[in-house]
Amino acid sequence: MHNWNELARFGLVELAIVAAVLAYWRLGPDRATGKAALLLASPLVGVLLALFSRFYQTGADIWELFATWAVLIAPWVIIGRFAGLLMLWLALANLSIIFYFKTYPWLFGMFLNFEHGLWMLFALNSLALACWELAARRTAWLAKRWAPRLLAIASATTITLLMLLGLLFQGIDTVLIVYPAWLVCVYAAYRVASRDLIVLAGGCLSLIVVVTSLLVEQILVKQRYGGGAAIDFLFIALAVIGMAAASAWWLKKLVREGRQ
Amino acid sequence: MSAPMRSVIAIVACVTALALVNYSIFGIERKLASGRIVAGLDADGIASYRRLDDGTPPAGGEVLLHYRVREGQIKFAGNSFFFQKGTAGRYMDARYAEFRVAPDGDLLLTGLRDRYFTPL
Repeated sequence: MHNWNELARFGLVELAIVAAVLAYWRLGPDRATGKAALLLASPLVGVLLALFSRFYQTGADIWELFATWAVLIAPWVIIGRFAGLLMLWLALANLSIIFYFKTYPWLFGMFLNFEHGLWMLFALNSLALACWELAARRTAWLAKRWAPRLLAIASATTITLLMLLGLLFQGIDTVLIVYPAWLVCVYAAYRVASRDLIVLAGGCLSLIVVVTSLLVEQILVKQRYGGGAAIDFLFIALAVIGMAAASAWWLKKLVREGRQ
Repeated sequence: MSAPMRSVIAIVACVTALALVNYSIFGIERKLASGRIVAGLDADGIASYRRLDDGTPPAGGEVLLHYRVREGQIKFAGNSFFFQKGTAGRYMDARYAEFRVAPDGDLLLTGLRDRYFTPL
């Protein structure tokens, strides 16, 4: 016990956590102020863990910090009934995976490792998105559009990156099946079963990126020695403009449908 | 699940999380607060620091010494030496402390010696 200033800092953060949880109890678990108190307590646990790992330099990896944080606040997330708290928890889970796969690059080699991490992130966020959308039909506190939209963006970003890896490096076959299946699911969920133009716009963007990359790969990279580069660039530019215009037209049509 | 039930779970989770963190803090502090070093003895029997005890048995001319950290200072055995009232003058020239050392590193202060190693 040689550094009382540091230990006093631990005590202050711990007191703040206790105060926030007591406030949750006193203010009422079903009221917005009570939920806000729980949302305050959760980052404070992270502050406490960060203080701990900085002061004692235990050699723990960053992913362990985020994973421990996620485990410790998990009970609050379950009983909290609060979209913001659940999203904080999912963010911690994402960070744990990101730092875990950066921690062990020697396991699979850099590139394979990156791909494994992306698959894990894709699985986590897509599963969370599907559960969220299904549960939101019956649960009022989940009916916040911003949260599933963020999850959809995370899902779209990871599967698009995986698809680009699959196109650029041969031998990754799984994604060639998963990506079209993902597009079909997005269409079914957000065009047929319900309507979310932001997610559909994200799907369009993903498709444009993938098709453009395919064109670049096929035309520019594979026919590197064929000449006629100017006309190829023009063709790709026109294709991008065409796809963007088609997406905009389709989304506008959906907006009009929605108004009727 | 009712609101009081959820409050109870929130508080139990809070206590558990803080207990885990504090248990780790005190565990590390306790481990840091005492330990053993390996000291080498020179021809006069004066011990000097060689290394922290890493489990390897001390070689010839080396002893294990148990230490404690109190108020930021390393202490060996007790840091007090009792003598009869009025005899303080005898100990003014003390320079070295004489210890009996057990094989496991425990120390017992047996006397003081001056700079010429004469027992006082």
